[in-house]
Formats: sequence, C-alpha cells, structure tokens
Amino acid sequence: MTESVYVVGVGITPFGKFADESMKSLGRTASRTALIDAGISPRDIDLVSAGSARSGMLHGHESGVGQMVAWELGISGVAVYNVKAYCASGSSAFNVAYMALAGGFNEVALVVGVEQLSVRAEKGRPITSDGVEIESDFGFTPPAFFAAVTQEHMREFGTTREQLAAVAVKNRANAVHNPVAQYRNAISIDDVINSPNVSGPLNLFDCCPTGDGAAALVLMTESAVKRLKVGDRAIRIASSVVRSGEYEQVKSLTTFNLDVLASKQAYEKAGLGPEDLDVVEVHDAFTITELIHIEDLGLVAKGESGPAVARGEFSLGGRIPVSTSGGLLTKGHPLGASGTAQLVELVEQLRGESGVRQVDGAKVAMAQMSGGFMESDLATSCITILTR
Amino acid sequence: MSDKPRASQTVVDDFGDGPVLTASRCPSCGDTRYPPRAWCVNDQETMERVPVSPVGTLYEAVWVSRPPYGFREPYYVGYVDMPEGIRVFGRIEANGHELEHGMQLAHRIDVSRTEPEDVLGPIFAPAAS
Repeated sequence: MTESVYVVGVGITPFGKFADESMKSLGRTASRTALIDAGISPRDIDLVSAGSARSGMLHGHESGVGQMVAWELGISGVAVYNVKAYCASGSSAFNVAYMALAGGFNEVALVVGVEQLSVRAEKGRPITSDGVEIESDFGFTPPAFFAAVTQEHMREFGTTREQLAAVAVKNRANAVHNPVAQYRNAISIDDVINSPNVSGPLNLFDCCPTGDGAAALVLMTESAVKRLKVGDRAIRIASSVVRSGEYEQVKSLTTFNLDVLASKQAYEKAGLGPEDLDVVEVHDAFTITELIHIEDLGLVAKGESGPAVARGEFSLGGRIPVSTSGGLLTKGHPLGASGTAQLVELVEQLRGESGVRQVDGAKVAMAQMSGGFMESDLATSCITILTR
Repeated sequence: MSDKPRASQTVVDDFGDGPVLTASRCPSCGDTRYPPRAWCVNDQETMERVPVSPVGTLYEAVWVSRPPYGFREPYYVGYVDMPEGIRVFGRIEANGHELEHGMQLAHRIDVSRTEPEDVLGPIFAPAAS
C-alpha cells in the first residue's frame, strides 16, 4: 500500500548563462521560491533529494549538492540524497523523493535540480556526455548521434527538414511567453534551415543550448498536506517510473525502447493512457528527439510525428500541446535542472497558472526525460504523470 | 604527450599482427558484443576477446561540422553493422565517395583523435569492390 503523494510547491530560476551565479545561489533561490510557493517553513522539510549531472568536474561538488542547498536554506537533521543520472538527474531525484514519501518513510520533501555549465572550459563546442569515453575518442558527440538518428528517421518515414524545423519554431513560439526561457525571440522555418550546420541534417537551431539554472519542487504525503493545510493547489503524482536502457547491438535508432516500456509502466500505474494527456514535456534536446519521444510515448503513431507537428497538433491550442515551456530547445539544458523544470511547468499548467501558455482545462500531464548513451540506446528514462 | 599513440584499452587488442578492433564472444552461446564485455549477458560465462570482421555495412554516416574538444577539423562518423551482429561507431574517410546506407566499409586501426594525446581507434573507408 503506497501513500498518495502531491506536489505542493514549485520554484524556478531564469535559465541562461550567469557568470555571477553559482550552483549554490541557483539551487537556494529555486528552492526558497518552492518553499514560499508551498507556504511552509524550511523546518517542515524532512527529506532533500538533489539532482545534478556534471557538478563534480566543474564545481568541486562531486557529492553533497543536496547538503549544500539544504544548509543554505537552514534545513538540517534530515535525509539527503544526491542523484546523478545524466540529463535525467533532476527527474531521478524527483523519483527518489516520490518513493520515500509513497513508501511512508518521509512526509515532506524538497527536490532540487541544479546545474551551471557556463563555466566549462570548452564552452562553444558541443558538450560531451558521461559514459561515452570510448566513442568520444572516436569522434562521438550527442549532435552526431542524433544526426544519425535523424537521417534514419528521414529515410524510414520520409520525415522532412521542414518538419524538424517546425519543432524548433513551435518551442520558440511557446518560449516567447515564458519569462525564464533563455532564448525568447520567435523564429521561422527558414531561420532553422539557414542556421549554421552542426552535424548531418541538424543545424544550430535543431540543438538545445547549454545553460545554468535550477528548478525545485516541494512534495508531500496526503497526511502532511492535511496537517499543514496546503492542499488548495496540490497536484497529485499519478506515477513516477525510472528505467534503464534496453541494450541491443543492431537495432533501429528511430525508437528508444526504454521510453516505450517506461511510459507503458507509467500509464499502467496511473490507470491512464496517451489519450488522457492534456499537456506534455519531453526531452527535446534536439528537434528529432521531440519527434521520436512523442512517438515512443504513444502521442502519435510511429513515423507520423513529423507531419503531425507541422500540422500544429502539438502546438498551444493543438491536440496535445508539447513543450509548452519552450522546452530544452529554448530554455537551454542545464542538465540536472532540466527534469525538475519540466515538472515545474506541468504543475503550473495543472494549477491553471501558466498565463498565455495555459492549456485550457489541463487535468493530466506527462514528463519524459531520458539520459546518457549506452550500446546504441539511451541509458535511462524517467516518466512522470501528474493529475489535478 | 607520449611518443606512442594510446590505444583505446577497451576495444583495441594486439593478437600478434598489430592492433586490431576487438569484440567479445561467449564461448558457450556465441553471443558477440561490442564494446567487449567481461561476462556474457545470457549465461554469465567469461567472454573471450575476438577480432572484429574487416568489412561491415554502413547504418548511418554523418558529417560533424563542429568538432568537439580533441578534434581540429570537421569529419565523418557513423555506425557500421558488422557480420557478427555488432554495431561499431567510428570515424569514416569518405575518399570522395557518397556515404550511403547499406554500403560496404572496411576498417583499420589508426589515430582517431589527436588532443590531448593521440588515440588509436577504428577508421572506416569504402571497401574496395
């Protein structure tokens, strides 16, 4: 028997490149905002779960990011977990807090995802990923991998250059109305097609920028929600699933089986299906990844995402709006913060607090965040379903 | 900077005739994996290291316009499916050919990256027909 768990507070910093900030200042700012939003004191927190991916090599915090943020907020004497899982670090940290509360071990959790990438020495060049040491010696970059994926999707399904660009144009159109996004000017299909080439069919505007930022959430069990009387805007966590890759040697790169299986698990646990979703955030690190993820999550049939995006099915006002925050393509991708930022966006959507970006009457939301590369697959996937 | 290029310790072996690309094969069930694994995922037998076939079939090749740290000039990379059922990632020398899905590529071991030190890896090129 598991406890029902709710998100009762959210906080996010602007995303961008901030030389004057630090992981400490970003992490504490997002967390404090989430505590104030929840209307509780730092002393109410009995668990902190922190997600960050590359803070170790850049900031002297290989471990202890959660303890550092907790100390800044005056939180002491609590359970603290630090979770590292590539791009899915923040989403995985959320899952750890969810499990602790659902299992009845803790009652009030602070989840924070934070990253500062602008300090890296090789900035301006494609960022590498952890776990691809061998391939990196042989010329691997994430854009090159997803360029190969794009070519395969084009070859197999006839996906076009313009359809890919439609993803970037849509997400920028959403970002125009998101004050925390890093790039907020609208762009056209031609702007994407004429942006400088990065790899294969992928140009600069097909690739997410890096960045700095933090996003935090306060989670509570149902009994804590009642005790602390914070239930007015509580959003229920219907399911939270973490799953590693399905490692096969020779496979189609146009689907990521781990997302198919993790989302199936998440739908089953929530008793919901893709047809129930009102708003979705996916790991749109590249235009092609948004297309593949929405196929793998069952939002559209395999191979049909390109025409569907071009028709506006996933735009604001469309069938299922995707990346209403502007996604990673416009916010940038401060690795550990991206997963929690997705969840902040969806909680605000379900509360009806998203302003111009609001999906009318949104009741069910899904976040998908994958991470890492392993034997021609991604290394991990996190699926979260939230309901009002 | 060392005088001798660093061979990628995990995928390049010398079986007596110079460095070659290496996979692992289960002596019991024959499952072949790349990069090499210590143990078979099917039956946990200790894998044996075996040289990879010389010629494979191109899955996808892409041009890298913006090289990452360690690479000075743009280059082609791609995934090549080998007859033993493994997929190998590596740099490709097009040598004036169009790199097309399904074409045959041969590999040799050569310097794959130059910074901060030379590293050996598989370099593919269109196979002589």
